[in-house]
Amino acid sequence: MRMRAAFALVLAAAACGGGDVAVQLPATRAPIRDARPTRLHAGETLTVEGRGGPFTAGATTQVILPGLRGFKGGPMILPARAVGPDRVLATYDSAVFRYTGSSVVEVEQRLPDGTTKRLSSDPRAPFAFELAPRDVATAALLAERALPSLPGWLVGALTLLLVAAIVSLPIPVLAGLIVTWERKISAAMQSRIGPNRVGPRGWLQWLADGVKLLLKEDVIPTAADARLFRAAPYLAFLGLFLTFIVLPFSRTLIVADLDVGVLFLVSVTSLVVVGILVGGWASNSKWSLLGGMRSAAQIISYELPASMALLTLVVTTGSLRTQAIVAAQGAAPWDWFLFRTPFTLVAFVIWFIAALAEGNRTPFDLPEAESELVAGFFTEYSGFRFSLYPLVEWVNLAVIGAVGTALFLGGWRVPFVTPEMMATSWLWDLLGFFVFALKDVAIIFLVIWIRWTLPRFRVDQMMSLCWRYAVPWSMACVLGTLAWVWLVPSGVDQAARIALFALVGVGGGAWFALRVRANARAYSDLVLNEKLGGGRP
Amino acid sequence: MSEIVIDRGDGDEVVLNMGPQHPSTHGVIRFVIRTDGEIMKEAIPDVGYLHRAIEHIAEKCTYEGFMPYTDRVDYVCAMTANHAWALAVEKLGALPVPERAEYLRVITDELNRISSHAIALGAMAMDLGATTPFMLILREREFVNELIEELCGARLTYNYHRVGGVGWDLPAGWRDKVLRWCDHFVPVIDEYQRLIAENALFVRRLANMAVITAEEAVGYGLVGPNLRASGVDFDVRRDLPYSVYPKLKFEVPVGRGAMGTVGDAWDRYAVRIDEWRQSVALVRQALDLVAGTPPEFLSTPKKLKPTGEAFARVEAARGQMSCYVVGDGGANAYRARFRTGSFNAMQIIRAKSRGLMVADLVALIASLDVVAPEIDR
Amino acid sequence: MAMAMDAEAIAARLRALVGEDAITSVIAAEGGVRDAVLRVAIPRWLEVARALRDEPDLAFDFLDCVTAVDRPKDGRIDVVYHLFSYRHRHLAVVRLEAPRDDARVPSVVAVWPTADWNEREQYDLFGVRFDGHPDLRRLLMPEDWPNHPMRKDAAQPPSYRGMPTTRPNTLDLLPTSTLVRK
Repeated sequence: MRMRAAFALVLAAAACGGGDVAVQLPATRAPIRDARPTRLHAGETLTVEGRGGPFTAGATTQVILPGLRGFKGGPMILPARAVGPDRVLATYDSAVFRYTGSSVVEVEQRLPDGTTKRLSSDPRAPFAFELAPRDVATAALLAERALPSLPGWLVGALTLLLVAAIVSLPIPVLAGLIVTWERKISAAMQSRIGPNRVGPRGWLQWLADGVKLLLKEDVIPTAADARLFRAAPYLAFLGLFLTFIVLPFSRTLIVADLDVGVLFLVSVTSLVVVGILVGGWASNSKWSLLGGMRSAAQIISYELPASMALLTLVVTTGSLRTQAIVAAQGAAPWDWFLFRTPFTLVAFVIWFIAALAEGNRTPFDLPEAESELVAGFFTEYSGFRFSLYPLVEWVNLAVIGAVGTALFLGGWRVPFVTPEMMATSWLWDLLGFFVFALKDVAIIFLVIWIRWTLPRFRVDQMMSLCWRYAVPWSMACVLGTLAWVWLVPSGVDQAARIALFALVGVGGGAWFALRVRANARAYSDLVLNEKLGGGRP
Repeated sequence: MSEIVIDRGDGDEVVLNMGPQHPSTHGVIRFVIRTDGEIMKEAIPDVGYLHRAIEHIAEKCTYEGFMPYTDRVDYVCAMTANHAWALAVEKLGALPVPERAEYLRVITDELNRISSHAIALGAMAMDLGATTPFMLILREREFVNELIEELCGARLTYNYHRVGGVGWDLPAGWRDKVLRWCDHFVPVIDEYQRLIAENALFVRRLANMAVITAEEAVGYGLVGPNLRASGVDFDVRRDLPYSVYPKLKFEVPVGRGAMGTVGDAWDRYAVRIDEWRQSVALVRQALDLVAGTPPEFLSTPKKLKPTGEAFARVEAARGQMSCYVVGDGGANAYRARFRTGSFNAMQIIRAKSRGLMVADLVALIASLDVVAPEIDR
Repeated sequence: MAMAMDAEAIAARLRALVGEDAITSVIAAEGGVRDAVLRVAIPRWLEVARALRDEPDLAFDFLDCVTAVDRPKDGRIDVVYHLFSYRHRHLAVVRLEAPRDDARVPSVVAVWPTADWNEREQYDLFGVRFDGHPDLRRLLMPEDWPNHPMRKDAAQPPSYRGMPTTRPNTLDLLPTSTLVRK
């Protein structure tokens, strides 16, 4: 729990009058080291406490911080009050400021007799603020500064729209790439070739399919509820899109590092259920309704084990913020939360299964079971609206991968690079993003692999798996993690981590590699297919 | 097509219509399902969408000329349908068949049985949600199609057997290709078995599902793998042997309830996997023995105008196919009747569907290996 | 103990069980007739069926095939049943000869459940009524098809629900051309 301690730096004695002046920030921040603008979050206050003095009670007091530049550019001047002969308190809660490197703090008092007394601290004393990296609100404020003629709310809204566009533009491209990759993986697993005509080796197939779907006739069944029918895919898309807000793609690449990150993630994915249910109902088809009901039951049921599995991480970290959870892990595999405790390992398995269920992926794809319901809840859709539901499903793959990576696999942490090093240059950030993407892609591959290997569950089997196995096991994980974090001494903890990594990570990987080799040897005759026309072109 | 009248007994009942266009019914078949949520009260089949009046056409064609139509009686396993008609007409006319032709008939029958079971098992896996096994097994079926194409020129509806023999002799080198393919195929059976049969999800979906007891199976007229999966040890090839089957050694797999109960869907699956192995053995034996036969493969009768009636049975992939032909001295048949395995299997679906879930109905249809052409003809 | 019986023996056993008049005659397997046929009187068919199934020496538990054969020259429709016993491995062929204009035959669904659809199909195609069948309606043809199509005198209806059943020769639809020499 080392990061969560309060940051209070005590400065050296003031120049005249001696004493210390301490600047105390709210306890939920990480250090900043440079001059980027910073904004206090709602409910936070910047407290400056001056000790030493002597301070005159009752005098009009100001605390001047030349090291912090206020909104208008000059040194930050905070109204303060003398709480006692040796204490002065100033709070500041509503503006943006920048740290310029100077660590001097001055307290100026206008005494009742009209004179001004100024005390300042030792300029050689170290002084550091600790705040979160840049986020959307800060960008909005920067824009506000740049366009002072526009009202603040308008600038804020425009900034949000811009950020939304930047985030949502890659989403269709991401969906397209994932679906093309899935088709190629499934083809390889089935001794086929997959898309290979459109674009280099077929990698632009998604573009052709997307354009085709856009150009299709928009069919709405006569008896369908037209308004709900039209709105439903967008509800599902909304649920998916909102999750992108809290995904930490890199140390600085996060839309908003919400304090309730994990909670937000879990709650916002429920919107997808609404989209599916409404779509299934509004289609005015019994098969769609059946698919929608199945999906609602499935997703709602599996929210419980998913959230409880993530709760183990929150317990381990003490924070709901996704960046905090990433920062609590290390870059090496034995520092990942995957191997943190045996309970988090089980939690990963449970979360993964629940995430498959939430994403309607095989073996949990009953809602869209092709062989039973044609296409389940989106049977009656065509054209662009039809493409939205699978788009949600495929991008959900990326989200599952991102959440798994960030929370269990160490996120954007690069081996041998500390976060302090990463703060120095944007190239490290980029490297962190690539590491994140790599781990994300690994999880996506796992999900696709499982989809093309396994058959699907029946409804009652799926529900029984959730309520009779996943929920009790995930509860056990939470309790176990609580007990572990509380009781297990750090030496045993460290040893357990390394042991778990050796057993499950290295041991499991070695077993897998040996099985692959054994299968390749046993079925080497399958090369016959190559001669008879199978295989790659 | 017929009207299905359902009296509205229960207000909570939902009536679903599955088909005739549906990704999972094996051909154009329609089911009217009365459900209470996910659990079915009844699934009433409605057939006739693929009725092509093949038996009527038999009265308009000569005995020899009718052979291509028999392919369409079961286009997934056309060789055995050819064989049924050839046997019936030869029995009617007391026609001799050369020994080489008999071996060729057996070889092609068994190859077709392998490819037909491939469709059955692959479609069963696909109906349960796993698309990969279907694709993998189509790759194997492709080899069989190409082999038979080399033999008789067609990949699906062969018109290979003739009244009095077969249509073509073995091409040069075909024997070795088939043997090489057999060597390739046997490990694939094991791979397939590991991929599906022992997969926990498959077992959970199929074991103890829609158990058909031996009495029910016999009473409802189930034949072939469906009958044997319920524990009845009967195979036309062994017990009422025709062609050269008496000279060939093979075993008949019977359902043992390995994963659940005898006669459940998993047994029907397992029996077909074992039949694959037996078919490969039969093909190998027949290929060895055909080499020693004299080269004549078709004894064409002069003018086929038989009188009387004859009843022949073959073991098709979907079970015993019976062909009853009545002749009145003309060049055309007076009456031809094909009684197919899928036709009887459809009848049991209504009885077995009570209490199953909709997802299980799909698995039940797939496990009975029902194809529309056999039902409707 | 499996013991196959030939047609004469089966007929004798049935006569002993059900009565002399149940089996009208036995057509021996000679000439073109490849399997011996038992001709059963129509009113006694249900009893005969039960005896065929339940009698331990007969044990015909499998109804293989139900076929209707239309013989307008003889004024009758034959309904031919092929039965098989798994235990004894013997085959029996039973023929019922029903008058063509009023072909009614007792249904044996109660004896062999598989007769359900088999009898429905023969009703659909030939018009033979099976008395006692729980659900005798058309199976393969649409429910409003006007005739029984496999009868020898069944004429093809000119249209069905507005769809013509014949079409003109496409060559006749081409516009006349000066190049075509008639």
